[in-house]
Amino acid sequence: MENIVEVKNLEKYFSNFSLKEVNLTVKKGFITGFIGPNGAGKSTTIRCIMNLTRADHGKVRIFGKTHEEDTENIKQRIGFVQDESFFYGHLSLEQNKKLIAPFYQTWNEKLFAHYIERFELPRMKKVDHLSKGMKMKFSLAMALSHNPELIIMDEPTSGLDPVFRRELLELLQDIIQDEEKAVFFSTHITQDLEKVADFITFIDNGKIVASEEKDALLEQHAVVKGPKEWLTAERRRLLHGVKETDIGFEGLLTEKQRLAGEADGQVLLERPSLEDIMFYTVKERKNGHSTIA
Amino acid sequence: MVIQLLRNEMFSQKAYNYVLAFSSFIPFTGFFTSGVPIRHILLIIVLSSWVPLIAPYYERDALLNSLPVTRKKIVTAKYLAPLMWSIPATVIVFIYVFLFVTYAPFPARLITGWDLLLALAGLYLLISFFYPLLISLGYIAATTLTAITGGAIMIGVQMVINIYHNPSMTSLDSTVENIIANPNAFILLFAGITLIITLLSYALSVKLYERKDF
Repeated sequence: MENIVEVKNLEKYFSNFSLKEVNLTVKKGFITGFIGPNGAGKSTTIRCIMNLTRADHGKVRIFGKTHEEDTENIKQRIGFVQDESFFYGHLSLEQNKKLIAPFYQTWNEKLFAHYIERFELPRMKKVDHLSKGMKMKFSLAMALSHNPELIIMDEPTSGLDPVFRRELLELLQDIIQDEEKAVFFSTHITQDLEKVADFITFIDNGKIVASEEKDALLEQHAVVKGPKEWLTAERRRLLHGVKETDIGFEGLLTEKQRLAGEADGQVLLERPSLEDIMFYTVKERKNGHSTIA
Repeated sequence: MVIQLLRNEMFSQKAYNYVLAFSSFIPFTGFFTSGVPIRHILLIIVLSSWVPLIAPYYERDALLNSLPVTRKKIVTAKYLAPLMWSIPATVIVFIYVFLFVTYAPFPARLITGWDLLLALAGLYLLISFFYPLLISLGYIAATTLTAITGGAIMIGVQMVINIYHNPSMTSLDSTVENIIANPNAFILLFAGITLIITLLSYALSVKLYERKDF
């Protein structure tokens, strides 16, 4: 599998937050989801990948090149969708398009018209007068209209209604059908990724917690629920974000195979959702090993 | 790509900025009663620098930097923009001065090449001060400091003129008389110094902009 994006030991320091040794890859022909709670470092990582923010340490290679080597060529091949509208608000969609389209050698006017129609966007309306969802749709139309090989999206579904969210996910799946493109997609709405992502990278508090195939990630974790007596100190160490009540406990088992045989019949092992993995892992970091309800 | 960036600056402005730019005709031409060449030079500087000074307020840095263009080209476009705006500004002021010379009952002369050189030098001195401040301190601080400095320079020039006209103060007489006797040499010297300052300012701006986070 060819890596379109390779991030190695990326570090960025701010006064109140830092990215620490971020390593991730985005593979050609696949959708990679980038999950994490608010403030985890998703947008900062994406900004470093887009060269909007300069890394203090580490390397970002896209299509085998760094931004220092050939940022123009790299960005020609990327469709970028930001978490909030970053177009000229006082100009219409058409005026914005006229200013931005000439920067792209592969701009496809017919494709743009297709997306404008498909997303039901009013060409002559000012960007400032659009709803958040419409702004995101316009951002998508702009990002997709130059046939990018890599689509990077920072929280694209956050302002969208459920109907368009599904449409967008279908659209992304269509885009990667030719196996020549890749999508890197950050969100905290993990259900979206559950439907479409092939790979998941999970970041929390500026550090990568997991980065692997979605199915493998879901397979190796389990939500465990059972009586308190079962929860020995040794078993507790294998669980994340344990919550104890008077009658029992629940927590996330991070290496399911390590409890093989021990759990049979005594505790309930449930397949977790990405949200479960995110929730228990963040809880573990915030509250220590366990909480008492 | 630099052309596209210049085009971006031209068409991303709010229309009223152009109207406001034209309003500067009123103070700089003394309500259309002054034919003094220095006022016309100042008018060219103000008209040429108006959009480059206002544009950063509307600029979308994250958008510009996500486009397939290097940061150096973005800065290059910033430094070329005043030159681009000086063309229509000069044409407009030239037409005004021509009409003034032809029809107004006041003594006046047409704009010369030396006037234009002086205007360009003044324009780039202003811009060379503004852009590094803009990149390092932001829009509000940069415009405030530039306005204060511009005002201080104009007051300084007026003070020199006042001192020259004051018979009891003779310390600046020989300097001012030298300039009056050889105005073109002074303009050339001023333009040369401005060119060096502009190149240094450009290099500094590129360095600052390449380190900036958006």
